[in-house]
Amino acid sequence: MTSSPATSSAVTIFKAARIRTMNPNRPLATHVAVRDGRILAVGDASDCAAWQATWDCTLDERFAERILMPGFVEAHGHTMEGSLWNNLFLGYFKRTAPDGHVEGGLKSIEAVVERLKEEEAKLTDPDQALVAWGFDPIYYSERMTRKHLDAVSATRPIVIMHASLHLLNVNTPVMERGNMLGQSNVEGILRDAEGVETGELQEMAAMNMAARVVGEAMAVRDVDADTLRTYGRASVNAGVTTTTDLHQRLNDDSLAAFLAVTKEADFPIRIVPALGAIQWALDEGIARATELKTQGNDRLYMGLVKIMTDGSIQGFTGRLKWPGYHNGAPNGLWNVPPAQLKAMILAYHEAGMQMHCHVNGDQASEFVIDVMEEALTKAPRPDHRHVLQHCQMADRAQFRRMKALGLSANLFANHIFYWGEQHYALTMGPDKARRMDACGTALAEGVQFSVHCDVPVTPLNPLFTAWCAVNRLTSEGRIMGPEECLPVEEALKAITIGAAYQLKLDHLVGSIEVGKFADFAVLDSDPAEVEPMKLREVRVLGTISAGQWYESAIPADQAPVPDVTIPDAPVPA
Amino acid sequence: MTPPLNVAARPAPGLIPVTVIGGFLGSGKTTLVNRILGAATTRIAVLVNDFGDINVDAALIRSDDGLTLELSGGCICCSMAEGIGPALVAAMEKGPDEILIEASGVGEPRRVAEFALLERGLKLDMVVTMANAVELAAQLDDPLIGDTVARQFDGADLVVLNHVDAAGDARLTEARAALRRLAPGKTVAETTRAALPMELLAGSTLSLLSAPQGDPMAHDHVFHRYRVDTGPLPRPALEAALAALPADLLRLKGWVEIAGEGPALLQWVAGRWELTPGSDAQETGTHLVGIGTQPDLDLTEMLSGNPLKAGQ
Ligand SMILES: [Zn+2]
Ligand SMILES: [Zn+2]
Ligand SMILES: [Zn+2]
Repeated sequence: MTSSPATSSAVTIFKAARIRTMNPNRPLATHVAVRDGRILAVGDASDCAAWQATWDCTLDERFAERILMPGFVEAHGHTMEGSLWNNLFLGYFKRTAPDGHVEGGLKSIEAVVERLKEEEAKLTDPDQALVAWGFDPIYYSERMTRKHLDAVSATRPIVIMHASLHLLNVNTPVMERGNMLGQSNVEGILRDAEGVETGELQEMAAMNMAARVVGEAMAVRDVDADTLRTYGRASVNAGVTTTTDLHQRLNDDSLAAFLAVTKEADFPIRIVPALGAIQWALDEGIARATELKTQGNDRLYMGLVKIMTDGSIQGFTGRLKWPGYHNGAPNGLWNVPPAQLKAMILAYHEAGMQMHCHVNGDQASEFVIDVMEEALTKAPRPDHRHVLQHCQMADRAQFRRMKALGLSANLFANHIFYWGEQHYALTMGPDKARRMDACGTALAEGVQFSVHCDVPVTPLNPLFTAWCAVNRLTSEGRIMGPEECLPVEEALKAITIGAAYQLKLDHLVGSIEVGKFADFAVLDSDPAEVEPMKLREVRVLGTISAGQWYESAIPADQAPVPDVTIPDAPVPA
Repeated sequence: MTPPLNVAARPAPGLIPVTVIGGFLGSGKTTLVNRILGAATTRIAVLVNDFGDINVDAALIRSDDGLTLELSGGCICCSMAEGIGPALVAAMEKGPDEILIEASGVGEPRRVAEFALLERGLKLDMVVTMANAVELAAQLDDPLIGDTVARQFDGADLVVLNHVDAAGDARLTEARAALRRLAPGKTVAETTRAALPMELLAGSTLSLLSAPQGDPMAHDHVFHRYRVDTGPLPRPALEAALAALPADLLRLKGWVEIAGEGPALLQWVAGRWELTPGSDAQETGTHLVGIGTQPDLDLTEMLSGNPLKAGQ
């Protein structure tokens, strides 16, 4: 050796019990050398000795008993998680707040009401609204009404957002202030058998009115710096070093927030926002997306475009092919007429954009596959990497077409745990529920894929998402479609290099490899070695981003969340 | 020809009327919006969809005094942000005489109408759903959009079957049959280039009453105009009569002298009505004008508490 690769700045060598690199050329290592935030070398103890002889370096042994993996990549999340926690979380399952404390796990309506009372007692201003989120009525035998909420306060406005984000529960003061009592023509104000308003609101008109009543607490704003910082903390807790914000208007204000925060010295993640195409007129959106491609930095990557097509399956708004919803509910909703969606997809494709298309139902995924086929026939483009997001109901034939067209799938594995039972009984029925979020099929048919959480819809925690894809366990302990279970190794690829590929960042992140960013997840055990059912119990101690350590806010003795009860003998369905 | 009623100069009552225009892509919503704006004598705020059928006529809609608000889509699971609610609030702040909302091509007009029902300061005027006579039957057969198109007729006060000139006999017959099935009992107006009598759609008190009445118009074979000039009416009988008026009477407006109470402004639209007491009527007695599709509707009889003698 005649010269060292560079002498400009110091080299840190991290020593670990094991480094699972996700780089097939060197799957396992124990030492990784970092300079200027990038990986300089990967090796073992003898390599390390050679590095030490060559470079001026410090050996960091803090993680000598730990496992390092590439920092996890979440290819479908929303920074909104960073502001939702300003309000009270009321989930049936426990969930970790960005500051590390655990909320939720409320197993009865009484428990929900008790938690609300506790929070209400802390408020000093009598006019301040109490806003909560994450309430999911499907887990309770009893329906929440405004009586429950009036018992919490009959004077202060209370609004509870459901986990689906499609319904609200409010108390009587909200209904009074929002002009919602005695409105017999408004179907979005639900009533009981006697015609009395229950306090449950659906449809945008009634929900919008409730939001207006509580004002600031539910005001929707563009993404801001605080939201991004909080999202960063939530990411550290989950071992995530690269993540998306997969639907933003990306006007000048939000772009300024992204640019400012990603330049802060201690911002722990790389972030990839997507321009929400339906928030712009077509020509303006293409112009904006083109302009955005020139923006960004080491922690901010622009250029993704999000296309919304249908709604959600648990909300019965996903678009399904025949025979439709298992319980006979009418077919779902398009956000935009299909003909306009088609024009939009063709135009963004021709403009050279990479699209992430939200498709839940199989009619929506088939529609996008059809349009992509046309787009790619008219304007062939190598390495387009268009992604079908959620893609929950695609069948084998659709996956084969995706393979042929080079489309990726990002599957919503967390759905299996959180709503699998509902899909089994109500939305899809047993047959189709078994093949939801078909990771096994994607693997078998050779479709490039990842798995995601769609935070805030479900919690940000790639190891839990991997556990869902590997075990396919529902909240009731049913193994929903064992044929679709993913091997652990494939699930780990999905949450690292697989997701990085979908963001066109696989040359920079997603594996521990020379030249890439020094972004690692620091774990207490090796996910590839634990029993697959214990994957969710692997603890994240924190992350290293660009060589800098960020400690998880989750206390070491905290039990893993969500609070899953694993039956002795899970029932395959 | 009867002279117009002399109420045009009166201030409109406080509630701003809202008209919702829905219908699938290509049904002619934008044409109708532009017609209304072109004929408007009042300040109309318009909420248009960014993804509306082709481009809204720039001269008519975009160059005005800030009364046009664009709705842009959002993810339906998290789009409180830029929906109709905030745009309506912004529109109200501009103090218009009327508000017109063009629903998106996949929107359900009745759901959009709920915004006007809930908002204090607004009242729902009319829900119009448009259909494309050329394409309706094929749209309904398309598994991608058939159910979406069908749902848009729920809750419509008036269905406009547009582009009848281009449809040809066979398609027109099919379209008519489809509408009988999807919008039973609803008034269907057949149009070319969305040409509707403008006073039909004008929600402001000013417009209908100030428009010349009884002019021969191209659509007299569809729409009929009615005039009521009578004396004081007792409230109970009046209210009962108003509740029983047929739905194909689309609009009825003017002054009612309520026996023992005095004058009140009546605004009746497709079954929704309100009586606003007012002491500034310049004439005594009851003077109303209406528009609907029944050829012989004896409104005077009906309002006087004699519904049995009503036309058919
Ligand atoms: Zn989505
Ligand atoms: Zn999403
Ligand atoms: Zn969403």
